[in-house]
Amino acid sequence: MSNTPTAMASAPLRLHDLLWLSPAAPEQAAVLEGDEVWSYERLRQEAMRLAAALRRHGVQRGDRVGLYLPKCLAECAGLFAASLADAAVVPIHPALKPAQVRHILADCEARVLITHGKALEPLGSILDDLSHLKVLTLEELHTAQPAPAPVQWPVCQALGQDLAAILYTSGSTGLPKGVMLSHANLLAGTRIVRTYLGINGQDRLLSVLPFSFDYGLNQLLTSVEQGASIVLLNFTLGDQVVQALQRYQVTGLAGVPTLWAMLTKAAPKLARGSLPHLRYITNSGGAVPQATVARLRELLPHTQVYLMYGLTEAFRSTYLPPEQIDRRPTSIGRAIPECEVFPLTAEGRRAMPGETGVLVHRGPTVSMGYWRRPESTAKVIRRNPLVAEHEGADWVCWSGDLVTIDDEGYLYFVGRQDAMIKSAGYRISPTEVEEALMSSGLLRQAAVVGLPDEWVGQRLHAFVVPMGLELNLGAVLAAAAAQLPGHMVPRTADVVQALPQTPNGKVDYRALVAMRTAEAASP
Amino acid sequence: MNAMTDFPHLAQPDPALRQQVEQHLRGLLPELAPGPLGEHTALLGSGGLDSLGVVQLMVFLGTELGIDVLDEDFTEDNLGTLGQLLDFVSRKRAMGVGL
Repeated sequence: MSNTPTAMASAPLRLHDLLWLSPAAPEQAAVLEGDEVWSYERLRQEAMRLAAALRRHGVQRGDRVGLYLPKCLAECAGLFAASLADAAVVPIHPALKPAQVRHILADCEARVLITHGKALEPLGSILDDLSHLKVLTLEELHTAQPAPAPVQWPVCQALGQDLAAILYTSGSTGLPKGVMLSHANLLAGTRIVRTYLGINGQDRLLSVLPFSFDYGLNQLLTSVEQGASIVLLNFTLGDQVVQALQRYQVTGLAGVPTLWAMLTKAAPKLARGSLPHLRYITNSGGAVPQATVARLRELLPHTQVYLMYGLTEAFRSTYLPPEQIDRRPTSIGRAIPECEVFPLTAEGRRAMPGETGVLVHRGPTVSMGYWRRPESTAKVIRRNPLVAEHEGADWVCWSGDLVTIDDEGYLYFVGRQDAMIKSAGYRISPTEVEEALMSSGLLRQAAVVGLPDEWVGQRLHAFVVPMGLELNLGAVLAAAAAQLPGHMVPRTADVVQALPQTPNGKVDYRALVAMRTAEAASP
Repeated sequence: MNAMTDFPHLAQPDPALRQQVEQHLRGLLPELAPGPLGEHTALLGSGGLDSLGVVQLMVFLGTELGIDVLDEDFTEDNLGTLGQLLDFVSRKRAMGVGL
């Protein structure tokens, strides 16, 4: 191929190399959505067309390109297009509200946003003052640009070590931060996951998770790398997932705990039908209750269940091989290939079996830290504590999760070091929700905690201290609902006169959780 | 099985119940137009509930309205519009009577 952007690369180095070096035949289905099918050739053409548009609009090496689209075929092209244009892609979750979309685009100083008319509408004029940003809609791009002229594609300059993507995610405080991923990070994640899941060219994956989530993005990358096919699905009812699994004879499905709750408790078609083609399912983004795992195995007797653990800062840390579920039902698994994962004690040594420590992750998926936040980065991406710096200590990821390890290297989740909440697969910062509640102007103070929940893992519950004697709780929650996507809005709240404090004067989140869970446990 | 014909007096939810359901829906769908909602207000599809919203609605029906929500209840027929949802709530509450 003369007109190829991969130039001399014999092994994939950048995101788009995965597409150009894919073993799939050009006419083979790469991405499917509803009745539409894009072949590998079509996906390459669309990616080049978008990349050409990015270049025309001044995107240069190192720039950031935002994608604010529902899960769709064009979004897949956009992910590869940014890489072709030597830029970093910033996929934005389609459920985010205007202020959050603005935060991301302003924070990463995006050069271009690719979106479509309908998504743009609610944003109104909120992006107008971002002078660095050019907004392009798919509609404009389609009408303005016919097929690209058959010119020699300029060889891409980016190295594997360059920034490939920024994925915004929440911590325990403040606004979402952008986790920086290099091409090498993303390619390592692709290689590692397809190895332990055995993904190959015969597979047909179902994508229901957003591409703004590393776990969802990884599905697309592994599929393309192996020359498999991936089906995109936006759904509201569990049965729609079951129908898609049947219709497309899906072999692999990735989900978060809420999806498994829906499939086992709210998808009558699953109980009535069978899914003989479904080779494996994977879970990440929180623990699945054991009863749900058991029910899934009952409903899907031919399917292997992989329970996994990871955080965006290091992509994925552990997986539990399916045959270990019965032996170690509460384990989050052992280190993924190419990586080392262990608990580290407060004294800075490896924890002994049974001893609690912070999960530390070494290997090629350790991210580049948080975009323009060196202090936050320094807390999470640190030098290997077991090797002296001048003796070649590598950069490792401090997860903030407390775990134990057993004699055979399997890890067990104990708890978080901070107040970060994990709900429906999302990481949620209590302070971001609290600020939205406070914006009602009706509160003196607010605290948000995660309470155990069978559907979403942890559900959001607010404790609010009213300004006056009377409080319209509905108005407070409505204020939050207006500013936050559905998964960040607390659905229940307690009105209290004061919040408990820790000895050093901070809100005592543990005490609040204990207050609520003790109540639920008592008869 | 059609419980509505068995309990015709329960087919229409009382205004207080309707208000409770509407208020919860407004929390889930802040973009809903102000003012009373019509029977044909669409709850699913574009601009409607997402999958998590459906779950949150059903959990609300279970915990706040005491409805025994089963897996077969998660259908478009029960959740498509406000009218269908209110019918569903009435039917389930009627079925709960005497249990």
